[in-house]
Amino acid sequence: MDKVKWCLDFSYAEASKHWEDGVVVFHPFSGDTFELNELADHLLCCLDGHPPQTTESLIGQAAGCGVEAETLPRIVVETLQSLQECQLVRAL
Amino acid sequence: MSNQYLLDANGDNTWQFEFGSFTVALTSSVDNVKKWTPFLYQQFHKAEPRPAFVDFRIQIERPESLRRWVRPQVNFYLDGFAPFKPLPAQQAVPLFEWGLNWCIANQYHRYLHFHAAGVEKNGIMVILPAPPGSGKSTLSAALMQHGWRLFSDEILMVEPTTARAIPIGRPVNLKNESIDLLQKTFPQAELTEKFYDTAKGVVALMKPTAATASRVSETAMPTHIITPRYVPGRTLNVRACRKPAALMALIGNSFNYHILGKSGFDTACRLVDQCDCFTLEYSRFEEVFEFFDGLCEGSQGV
Amino acid sequence: MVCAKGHRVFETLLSNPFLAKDYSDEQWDQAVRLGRSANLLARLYQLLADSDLLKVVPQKAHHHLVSASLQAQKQRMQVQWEVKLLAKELLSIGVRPILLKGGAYIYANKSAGQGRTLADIDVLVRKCDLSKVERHLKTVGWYSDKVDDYDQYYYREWTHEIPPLIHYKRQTVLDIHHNIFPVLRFRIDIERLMDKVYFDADGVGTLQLYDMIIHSATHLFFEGEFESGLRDLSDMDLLVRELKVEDWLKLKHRAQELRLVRPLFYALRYCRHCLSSPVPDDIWTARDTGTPNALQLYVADLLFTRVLIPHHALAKKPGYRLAKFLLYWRGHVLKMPLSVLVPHLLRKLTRSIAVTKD
Repeated sequence: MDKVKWCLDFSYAEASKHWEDGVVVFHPFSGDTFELNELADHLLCCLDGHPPQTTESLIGQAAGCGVEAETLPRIVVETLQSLQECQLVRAL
Repeated sequence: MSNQYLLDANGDNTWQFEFGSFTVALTSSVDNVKKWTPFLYQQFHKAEPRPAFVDFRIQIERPESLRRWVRPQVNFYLDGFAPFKPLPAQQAVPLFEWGLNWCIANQYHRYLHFHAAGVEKNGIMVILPAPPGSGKSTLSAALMQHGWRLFSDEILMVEPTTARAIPIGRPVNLKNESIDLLQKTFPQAELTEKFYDTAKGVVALMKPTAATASRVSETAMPTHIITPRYVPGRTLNVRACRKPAALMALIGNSFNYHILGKSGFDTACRLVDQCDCFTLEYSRFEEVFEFFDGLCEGSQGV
Repeated sequence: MVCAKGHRVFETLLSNPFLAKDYSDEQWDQAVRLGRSANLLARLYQLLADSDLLKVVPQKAHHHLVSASLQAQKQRMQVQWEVKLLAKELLSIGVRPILLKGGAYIYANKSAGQGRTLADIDVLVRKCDLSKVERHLKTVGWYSDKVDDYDQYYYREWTHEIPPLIHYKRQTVLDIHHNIFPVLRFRIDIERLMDKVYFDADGVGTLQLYDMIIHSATHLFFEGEFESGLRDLSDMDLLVRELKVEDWLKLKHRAQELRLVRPLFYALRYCRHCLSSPVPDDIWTARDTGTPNALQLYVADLLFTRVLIPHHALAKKPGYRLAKFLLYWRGHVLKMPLSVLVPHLLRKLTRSIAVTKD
């Protein structure tokens, strides 16, 4: 696992919608929509304002959210990649 | 509906009809199309007099080639342009339906479209978003026969500024086992012959009910988003769906969400906000009807 | 301007959007069909919007214009985003991309970028950087679907680009060129073009206005296919409308310097003919080399006016197919010597027979 470090940057997210059970974010440049569900919410609080995490430890953190183990690395990596492509996440 | 369909007075095998917001002109000299178009569309407004502006000019014709004598084929033309490969002539009628869906999904972005069925009764308007194969055509055909008004079995259109659903009310595309099942359950349902060996298997088209066809200009405000799944032998299982998950499922089933950009996001959020969101697993129509009719209780006369 | 009828019903609106006020439903029906086949519906929407004329458009036609405009706006966002990502990638290997055609008009915020749709983003890089760029992009999610060896060979050997690259996720298509024209028959001095490129703070280059016009003209009148011919003319029409009175001679001199007089001559002639572009009468003189003689001009008019149209049954004149056929061959002959062309076409022919047999 690579040791890339990440932080979240929501300055690009033009619109978001908050419900009691979750948040969706619209990214205007790419036109992508993200659900920041339990997993991403968790990524958020892991990352935002806290010491940067490695991808590896993020996966470990996400495991605590009850995501099935086999799907986990793919979900985390894809979420990170998507967020990174839209510059919502920056590698530090 | 008093305005009965008649073969065009000019005898040029062109039918023009109005589906709520758009006008379609279909020209075809293919026997199957000539046979079934009057049957399927007789209840819709015939555009009279011929409108000067036509949204979609469609031709279903045999391509000019030697093959026409060997294995006859038909082509779908939108204003002279053929977007698809030709199909065996026997599939001309479903080809028109699929092709018209393609026209709407690809060229009519004034509305946000979802790959979803939509039904309405007494002001309760349910969006049923689902990918192909989840039984939404079968379910919406059954609900239509049960007295619900069908908005569409395939493309549910929503006006972005008002978030109201726009009906199309076209014939329902039934596949494989569901054809006999529906004919048996609803003897009053009017179906075409079966068209064999299509890309989707055996296909038959169900004529819209009179209530569906005659009210094709009446929009409605969606109240429920229910993602259906047919599971053989399953008793009805309805679960509330998290709003963000409902939104992602809804936009994942949209044809043009990405084209509408921010306005698409706002519209989809508004829909999810104003609707109750469920997932529904079913195997028996009676249980589904009971559930849907329950949604209507208390809204009688609204 | 006479009132539009028949086949000019669309071009007339592009030339003078104010005529929209007098259009009947039937004319709108034709204009929308023609505009769609020419990929110019979104352009028409923009021109009408600029003159505050959308309100005179009947509702049904308006729906189709809005639809087309939404698609174009989506592409606009996509181009801006894609270019940003591309520039970042290329910066990491020390290359600054130069945008061409539609992508450049949009990125540089030209009026020719308004309502412009495009199938791919055209990028120019120096020939010495080409393989480095290709290698790098292939490591960050771009792939080529031209897997056929002959296709690969043809692209690399005889065209001025590498096979198109597609992004695995966003499905954007990049066409990376190292010249603006196939290398063989004409030595276009690419350095002279590169010298005048303007790079912004993100390291993205665009051609100067003159060079944009000359490049689009070269592309249209040296190629053999005119499917987007009217769209390209409309681009050039909007670009030349940005020129000031004193700029016209500079444009001509730039074409002379690049030895691309002929395509510019044709471009201005047919912009004026088809779209009433405000081209001065006296821009060319008898002494200008590279302009066509009377016979060449007669033939050119016969051919080009038949293909620089919306490619729709409503617009085609007698002789359309023959003109298209002759211009197709002209394009190929301009590109390659016959000793290369004939084997190439034979191979394409035998391959297409093999594919259509079933």
